Amino acid sequence: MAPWQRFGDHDETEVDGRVEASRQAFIARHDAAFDFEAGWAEIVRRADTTTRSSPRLVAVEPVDRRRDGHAATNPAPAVADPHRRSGRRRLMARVGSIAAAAAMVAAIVVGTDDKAQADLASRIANATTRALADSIEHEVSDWTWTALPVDAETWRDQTTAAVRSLNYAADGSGRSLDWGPLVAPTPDDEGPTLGPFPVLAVDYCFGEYEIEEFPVPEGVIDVNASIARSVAEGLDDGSMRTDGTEVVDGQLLIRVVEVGGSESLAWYVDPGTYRPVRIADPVEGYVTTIEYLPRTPDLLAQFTPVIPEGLVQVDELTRTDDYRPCS
Amino acid sequence: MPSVVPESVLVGTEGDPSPADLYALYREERGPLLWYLRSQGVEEHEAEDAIQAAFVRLLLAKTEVREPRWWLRTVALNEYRRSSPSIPSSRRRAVVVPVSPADLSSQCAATPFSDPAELTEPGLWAHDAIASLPDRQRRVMAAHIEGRTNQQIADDLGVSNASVRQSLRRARRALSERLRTDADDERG
Repeated sequence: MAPWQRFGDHDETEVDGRVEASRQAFIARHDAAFDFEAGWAEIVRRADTTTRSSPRLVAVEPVDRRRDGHAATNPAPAVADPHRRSGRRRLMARVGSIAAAAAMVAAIVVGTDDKAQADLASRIANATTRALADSIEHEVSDWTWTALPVDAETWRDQTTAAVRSLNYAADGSGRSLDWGPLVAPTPDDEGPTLGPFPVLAVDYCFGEYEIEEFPVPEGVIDVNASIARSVAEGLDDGSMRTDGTEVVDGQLLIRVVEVGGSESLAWYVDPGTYRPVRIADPVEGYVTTIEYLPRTPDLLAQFTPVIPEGLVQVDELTRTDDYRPCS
Repeated sequence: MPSVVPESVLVGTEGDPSPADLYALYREERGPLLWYLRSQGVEEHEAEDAIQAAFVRLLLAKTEVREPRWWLRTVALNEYRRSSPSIPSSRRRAVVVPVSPADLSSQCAATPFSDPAELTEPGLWAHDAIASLPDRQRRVMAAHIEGRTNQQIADDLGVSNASVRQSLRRARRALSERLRTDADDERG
């Protein structure tokens, strides 16, 4: 039996080992046949004939894009839930008719019938794709898997791939780190732009902010980071499936799970809209709720974080990660 | 052999690495870098150009380069995407058209191995297999094999840790399926 014939059981360690063995063989084969000295000489020659350029930095003035003009002193984004607690997130709980929803779901989810499952999966995938087409996905996360519980909000423009991420301090003292593009997307933008582009990171804990070139170092922001999109894709390609219903915070939702995946991880779909509205893994310790916001000029303008008065610009933030508490 | 790659490379400031350090970095990292780019669907000659461009940028960098291994990979991939006229600008982020697992078997069967015997040795299998994965899975799996942690990958891609784990699971499943398909093909 050839070694890889054992992989039918989807053993993670063995798959990784097979990939690594192949990788090492590839590297050894190419290294053995490559003239490193000539290659390096060419690199040095090209470097000698290339004009050095300074990193692209943009002068920053405090940004205030809110209509009410209070952003500098009250930088809460208008898109945030105004009733949001400063510490632990109040989970989104829709008040609706559970009975009506149950009837709706019952009409769709008929036991384990394959055709009914396929129809429902297709309906969810199509509705989600349509919902994301011209939306901003807003995610609100409760994380407990970090050393200290941390909340975060993320806005993802599905057209430009612009992302704003706002982390809250674990001690309930308010904002911790606010991160987003220095130049906000506009409704006229038609697609994602290849970086690098300047982003603004505002650290409330250390009272400082920085402008950095993103992706760092020249990676990519992935519009497909959308949780909802991952559900649509998973249902579409068969790697996820519907798994009945569950009442969550008083709302009846359709459960979606990964085929052969973690038993504790589940995505939840609103049976009224067929859109994913939640992902939760009680074992791993996180819950994220999702809403779909219209791609309005006002909301897009707020992708650029606000710099409160008194913060100092630095070359590099003191903090080393997003999850560090202020205290 | 112990790694010669420093934790941090300082260029253009006090504490510059010596030319010998950078050459050692080149010797150690060129092969893995080539494999990484091939796993992202980059043709070999284009990957060679991108690697050269990335090292040129490293030589010219004025600021501290942290994690030079990963810096080189991301810079090289972006150099390729910038220089490739065959990829429309709006699509440069997705080099290979994603395929569903249902389509994977047929694509795998059509993968041009230069020598069928390569299936019997751990040859050029992995980068072709990973390159055939959907975009997200390809990037996550390659980064995982390169030693990035799930959280580092999540930070790189701007996705959640859970999303990375999910992509890894799907990638492994697809690779497992491909291994089975290749073995079946070999048996004839």
